[in-house]
Amino acid sequence: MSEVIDILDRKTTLQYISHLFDLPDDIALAPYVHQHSPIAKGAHLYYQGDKAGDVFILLDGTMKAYQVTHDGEESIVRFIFPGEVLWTSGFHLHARSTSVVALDRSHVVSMPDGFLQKLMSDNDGVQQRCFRMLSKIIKDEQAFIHLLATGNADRRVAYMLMHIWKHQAPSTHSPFRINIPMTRSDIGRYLGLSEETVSRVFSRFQASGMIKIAHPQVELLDPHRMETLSQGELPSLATG
Amino acid sequence: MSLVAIDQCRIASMSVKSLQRLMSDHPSVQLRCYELLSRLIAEEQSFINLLASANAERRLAFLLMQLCRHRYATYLSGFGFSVPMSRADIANYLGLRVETVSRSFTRLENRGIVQVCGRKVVLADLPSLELIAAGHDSPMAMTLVKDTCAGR
Repeated sequence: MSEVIDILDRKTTLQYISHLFDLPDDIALAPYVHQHSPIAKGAHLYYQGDKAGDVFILLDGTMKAYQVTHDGEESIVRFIFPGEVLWTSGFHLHARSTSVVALDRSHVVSMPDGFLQKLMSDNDGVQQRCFRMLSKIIKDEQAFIHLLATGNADRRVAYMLMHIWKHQAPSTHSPFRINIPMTRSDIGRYLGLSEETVSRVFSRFQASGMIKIAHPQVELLDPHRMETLSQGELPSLATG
Repeated sequence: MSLVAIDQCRIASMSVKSLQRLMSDHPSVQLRCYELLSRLIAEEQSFINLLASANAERRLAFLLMQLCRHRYATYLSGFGFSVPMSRADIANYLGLRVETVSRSFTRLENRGIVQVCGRKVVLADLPSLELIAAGHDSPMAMTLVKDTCAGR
């Protein structure tokens, strides 16, 4: 799916991790960072309830974190993009709160949670970087909660498209083409919309010249307008 | 974001620098902060699930349980407390209309799960409320409601 995969040798990976966590140069990462073999589309990284001792970092691909509710329904917690970290829940909660599955071929590395905690204690820079990443998740979730509580279908889908775009844009050659690895039904479940509504909004965006649909990709023809819509600053496109 | 008190509050504060200092000097403090942030993330995720999928009654039950859990160390059936936020605030938070919030309160009251008097709420049937909040509605309660309707 991406060109990044082939150049991700061991050395590059360790440099990447070092950069991500703002590690000092003299830290010997190699013994602690485990590079997993590629995870095939549809395969699980871990399941809800599994013991949580490792922090995972997604290098390439897309993953989906979900929970299974009491009535056996799958509810999607978030999508994970390259460079994002799957944190543990701290030491006193030893089980994973979500299941994580690959939506396309994904590369991950992991390191023991205890090792990361140690790095944080020993280096102020690492500690600040980690807490900043955690705070960012909280802030993003709050924005998403606000979206779900107040946003109409158009705005929700616009938000989702811009969210994927912001994650993919830096690493792609065609900046306005978004690759959408999740199904319409996944998107619907994540946004609290029915699958049909999601499809209808996509068609409406296409009809109004904002996007061009070419499965599984979408081309952003008017990113500025899409961004404004995702922020809730434009009236809905819906006319009936 | 902006913060406003909705009832009388007591606040303590410390500078971010001091907290960072404390965390660096004491790994246990760092671990505790990490754990608190992780818990906040997990709670937000449950709330996201709730907003993406749940009906009005479940949203309200979730909020009542959350209020109870945060404000009081222990709680049991028959426990009463005052809901500090207005109906409009509740509606805004839960992504519902004000009328829907009021209707949901009434429905929970009709099922004998809560008693409502203005802002005061008595949790008459805590186990059922907990089940509804968790998305696992009690079939028994549903049956009772149906029976009551049929009997009228």
